[in-house]
Amino acid sequence: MANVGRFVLLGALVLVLYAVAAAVLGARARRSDLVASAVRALGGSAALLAVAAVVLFVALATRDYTFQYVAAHVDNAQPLVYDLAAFWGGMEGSLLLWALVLAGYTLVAVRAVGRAQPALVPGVVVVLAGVSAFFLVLLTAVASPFTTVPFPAADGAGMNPLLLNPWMAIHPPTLYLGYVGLTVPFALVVAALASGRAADGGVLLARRWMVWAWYCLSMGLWFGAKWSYVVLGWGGYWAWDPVENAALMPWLVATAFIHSVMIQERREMLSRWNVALVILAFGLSIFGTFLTRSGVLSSVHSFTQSSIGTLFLVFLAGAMLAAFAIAAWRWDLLRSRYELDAALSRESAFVLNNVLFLAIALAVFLGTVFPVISEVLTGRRVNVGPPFFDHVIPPIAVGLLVLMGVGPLLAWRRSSADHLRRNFLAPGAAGVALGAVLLAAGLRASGPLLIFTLAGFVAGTIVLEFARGIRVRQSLQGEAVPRAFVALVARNRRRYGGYIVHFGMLLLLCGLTGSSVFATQRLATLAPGESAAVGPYRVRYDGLGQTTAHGALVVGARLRVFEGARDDGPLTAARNLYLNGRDSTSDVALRSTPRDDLYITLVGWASDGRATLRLLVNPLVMWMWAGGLVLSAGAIVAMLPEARPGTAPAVMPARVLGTAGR
Amino acid sequence: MTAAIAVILAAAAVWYVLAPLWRRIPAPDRTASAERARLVEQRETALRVLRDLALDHATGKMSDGDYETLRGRQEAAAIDALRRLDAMDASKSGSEPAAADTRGPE
Amino acid sequence: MNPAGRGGSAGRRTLVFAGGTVLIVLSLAYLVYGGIQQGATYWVTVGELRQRAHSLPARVRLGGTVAAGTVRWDDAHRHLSFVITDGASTLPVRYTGVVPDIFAEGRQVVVEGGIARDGAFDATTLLAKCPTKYNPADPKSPR
Repeated sequence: MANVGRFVLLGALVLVLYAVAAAVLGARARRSDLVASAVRALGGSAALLAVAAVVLFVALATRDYTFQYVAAHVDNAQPLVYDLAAFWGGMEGSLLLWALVLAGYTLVAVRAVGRAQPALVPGVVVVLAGVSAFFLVLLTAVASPFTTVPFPAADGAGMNPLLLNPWMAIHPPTLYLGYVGLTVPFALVVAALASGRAADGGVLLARRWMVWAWYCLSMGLWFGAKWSYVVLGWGGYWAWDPVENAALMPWLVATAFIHSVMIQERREMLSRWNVALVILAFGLSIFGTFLTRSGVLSSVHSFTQSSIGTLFLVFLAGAMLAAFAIAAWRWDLLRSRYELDAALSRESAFVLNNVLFLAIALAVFLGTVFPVISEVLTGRRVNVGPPFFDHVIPPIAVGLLVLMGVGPLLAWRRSSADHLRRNFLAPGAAGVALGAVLLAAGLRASGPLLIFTLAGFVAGTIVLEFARGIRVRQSLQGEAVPRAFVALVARNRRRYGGYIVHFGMLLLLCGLTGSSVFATQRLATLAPGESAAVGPYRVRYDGLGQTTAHGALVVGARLRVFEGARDDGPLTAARNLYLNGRDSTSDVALRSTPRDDLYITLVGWASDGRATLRLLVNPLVMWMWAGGLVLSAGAIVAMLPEARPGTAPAVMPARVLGTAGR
Repeated sequence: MTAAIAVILAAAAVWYVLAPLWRRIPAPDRTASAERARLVEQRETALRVLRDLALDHATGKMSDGDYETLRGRQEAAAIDALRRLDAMDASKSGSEPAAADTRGPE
Repeated sequence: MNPAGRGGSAGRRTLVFAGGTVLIVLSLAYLVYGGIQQGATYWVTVGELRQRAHSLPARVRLGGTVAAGTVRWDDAHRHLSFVITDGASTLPVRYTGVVPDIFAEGRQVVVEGGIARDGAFDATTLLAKCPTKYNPADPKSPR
């Protein structure tokens, strides 16, 4: 079996290398048969990768411990579904997943490009096959998932119990769908630039892929945060860990791109900027994998760099150099057709939005690699950690929040003072009213007060946008409000889907602010029957219980929660002690309400029945999860294909329709 | 067993990949369909932007003058695409297209 | 559209954009500088800390391995002490708070804190690292 796996990976490598060669030759000699053969080679390599994946899945499912990879990530006790999730539980499997996802994307992308712009096919094939080749070299020569041992063990090492969780089972593949999805826009842009014919730099073609990748990254981050919160038991969801930052950076750049590409579509400006963003996003996806895989930052000792880390860096440097060289070569082609008209306009709001997103990405990058930078510059590793991010990022995020409200209301080209007054009065009043209510309710912290006020303002602008759109439809079509609402969103999916995403971001930001600023916690050691107060809650400890489950001893503290006189019911905070004697995990006692989360972990216990509990009250966390769902819904609305413009005569200028009918 | 699978897989892959070269079928000239796809894309984009502009204007986010200017550009692009598409359809049914040079307005 | 006012406004526009760019770059630099001042923690090894504890900042980040057989808890699992080692030198560490789930003897840990009067390391943060497995997030401890 392992031989089959090794062989198909080698075959896939040969095929993608052939695809690169055939596509280059075919483009040079203008021989479409060579290009067709290259495309077929990509199909073949995708099929072989699928075979490799099946081999690994079967080995994992049957717990074939002759595979080193299986022995390292599976054991006899864990449930079958986690055996399968072990596919992406380790480095070799993750690399295979990456190559597989890329192969799938490649097939779809080549077909789509073949229909839209066949001239770009050879270029797209070369880039995608080149990236595949890199991962296949890693898979065949450096980190093969099909390495075997002659004398298999009777049982494997299993996965860390922390990873045995549904959120963890879907978090990595979702993130990979996003990471790998950034490769396709990169290939489109590089191919368009190399062909020298697409004045838009391939950016408009790349947009759809970018949105998809952005969506997957968003969901991946959301799942990761959920996992961190529910499973790790430390009471938070984001720790500015290098691996988290690695996924956040491409997300930020992709977000910037999704905004600025609108300017390019409408005004034919910023194409150079957009090309740079696409290249940068791809670079950051590779950099993220490098961070995750090389251990350069998370390693306790300095610079225990694995060979795979070096390979990633070399590949990253090569790809970035080549792409930016091609962009520089075609720089004149990417001239903007128009210029910014006024400082106060929708366009400049978009530009500022991009600058701020990139500023955050830069800050995250600096904070993440600071240990390495400082070691290179001063010979000493200096960590900056969460205080750095907490200091740098909120002010920039507040700027983005302001823009989120102001941007959609600004006029294209230029805005007048009169226009501003007319548009900002109602939402501004909404924000101020919310701020005043919160102030009256006793909120005194200036930062959160500012953020909530701004959030109220932005929510006001979003409502205003919907209301206006509905009113326009009502006056033009005479539709009732619900119908007008549905039609409005359906006919302008991108715009109103975007607003829904904005609304999700508002919820998310409010949740973030509430839970990071107003969280309270205490550590309490209680004898059975004793209570501890935390926030508005009183928690009574009723004694310990013991069970066994999934190869672990489960020690649970029975708790009862009271809010004033009200009995909120029982909870159990447990700790799972695994039989290997080393690992232990928490089962958090969690009571979520829209107002706050009561989050209790069992820290330890004594022989006399006393237990030490960590009690946290995290306000508004539920808003964050809700924000993620709203964001997802908005993104789906925006991604669904738009109703064909030709079928929407409502707001279509008669002049154009007249021409169409000619 | 493994060797047999390997040989079969390899042979199948080689045959599949190299078939276009041996058969030497001249691939269909897809420049026309590509041009068509590009024009359709141009038309759709222009129409979508026009619809967006109309909505912006109707909701009071654009002065009349700016609206006219921006709309003019997009209408020109849309009309250009429609003309060329019409010409293509016409040429398919025999007559020579008016705009044989099918380059976009760049 | 006001062609008459264009020449003057173009100059002003450039000025506004240039000024804005400079402003943004400066504020970002200022923010980053402040963040580094706030967050910087020196990364040291056990050996370094033993040799020249007095010449290092009060708060450092120390990496090493939990020495086997040295982990001690108080009866309610609130206070933890263990010995951290880099292979050559060792140092006793005290910690109160929430211990990451994967903390165990023989595992790599990072502690943040400073040397107390009695020569032990008083840690305020404890991070443990899972050495072999896919480990997307360093298991966390509260900030």
